[in-house]
Amino acid sequence: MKCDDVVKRIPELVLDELDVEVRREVTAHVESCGACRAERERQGGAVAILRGAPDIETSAARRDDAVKAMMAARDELVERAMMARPVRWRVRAVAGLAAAALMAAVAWVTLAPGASWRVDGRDAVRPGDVVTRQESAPLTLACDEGTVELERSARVEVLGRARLRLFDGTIRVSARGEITVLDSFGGRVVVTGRAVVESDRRAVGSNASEPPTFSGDSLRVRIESGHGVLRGARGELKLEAGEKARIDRDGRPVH
Amino acid sequence: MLESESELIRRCARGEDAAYRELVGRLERPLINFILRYVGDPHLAEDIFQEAFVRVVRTLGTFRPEASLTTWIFTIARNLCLDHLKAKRRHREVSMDAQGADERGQVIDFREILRSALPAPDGRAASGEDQRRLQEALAQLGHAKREALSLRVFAGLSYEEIASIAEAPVGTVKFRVHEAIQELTRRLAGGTAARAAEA
Repeated sequence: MKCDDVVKRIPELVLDELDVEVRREVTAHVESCGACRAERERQGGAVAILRGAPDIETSAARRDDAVKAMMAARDELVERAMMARPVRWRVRAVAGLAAAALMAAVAWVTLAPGASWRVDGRDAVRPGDVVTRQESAPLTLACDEGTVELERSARVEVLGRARLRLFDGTIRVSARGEITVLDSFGGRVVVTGRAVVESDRRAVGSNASEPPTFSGDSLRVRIESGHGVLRGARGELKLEAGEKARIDRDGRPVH
Repeated sequence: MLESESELIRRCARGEDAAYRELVGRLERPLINFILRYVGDPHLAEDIFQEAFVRVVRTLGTFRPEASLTTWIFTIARNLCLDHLKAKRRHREVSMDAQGADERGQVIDFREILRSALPAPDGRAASGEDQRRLQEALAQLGHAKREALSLRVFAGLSYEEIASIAEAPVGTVKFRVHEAIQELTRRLAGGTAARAAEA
């Protein structure tokens, strides 16, 4: 084997993917060639770092969240199926046309940018957008699950349907269903009802030449009505109306 | 003994809570590791993880019994990752104020700075210089290479499974993984050389 052939095979060698015969040939060459040996050591080192990357811990909370979300999706499907009733063919034909028109409308809304959240009288907002509010009058983001009012200096990222990330400032949430608000350091609040959610991340030195730094990094929530779940990396608290709590730096919810 | 995939799918199709729990438990570790290495954002990874299982419930009726459950769910997760990465590319700053930008008319994006302040993906403190460099090098790989490498190394899937998920020939997937190894090696070596020169 020549060096060119061997070098092409080194990734397979370090990933242990070569069959016995080819491995023997490649290894024999590598042992006798300084340049190929050095390349094997470099790539072997990179693979060792890759394989040494720590696995993410499994988490009962993560599994519970996923199972709950699956159950909610199942219940939604069941509810839809229950809504269907046997009907005569004329009614069925009319209903079919109406359903087709509705599906076309829904598809349009789903595909149209900003279908998840709407802004009063302004452009729609879509996942990936960062929405800022500096003026004193609150601004309302609305989705099917409820509304979020951005207070002065609020800065949020739209993550998806009923999901926001609060960078800094204060928001008021009025949820008919559930709205999830995340904080950048790992805090999560699920609101059903009305709540005030604050983040104390504050930018210092906010201009392009001086990158901002942040003082403090906690997420606070006060439930005004309904209920909420405040969830950090190290636990969760169920909150009822009138209660308030925060997530500390270690990810523990604290009353 | 683990029950067969087909029995588990049947129970999921019947809507059994225990079957959902079994399915999530089986795939949690490889799936969350793949998603996180692919998108590089712990919060987003958690959201995609959950959304993938919701999609499983919604689309279980379209699952072909002859297909692999693992491959199918990884395909759902991979497509969600791609959707989010595309959304991120077309990200725009939406200031809802009359004076949304700063004094010089610039809109400042704090997101990368905030993300860089996040803890290591495994939730612990940074596990060393090597891992920090690895994260940077992974982030610089193209999507296709990062996807193939993550599925191979972090999720432990076979090339045939990866080919099915990535909708690419097995040879192409192997090539992507091998190219990714070579590119990572160059980037990691480049970082070492730069530090040696600084010293």
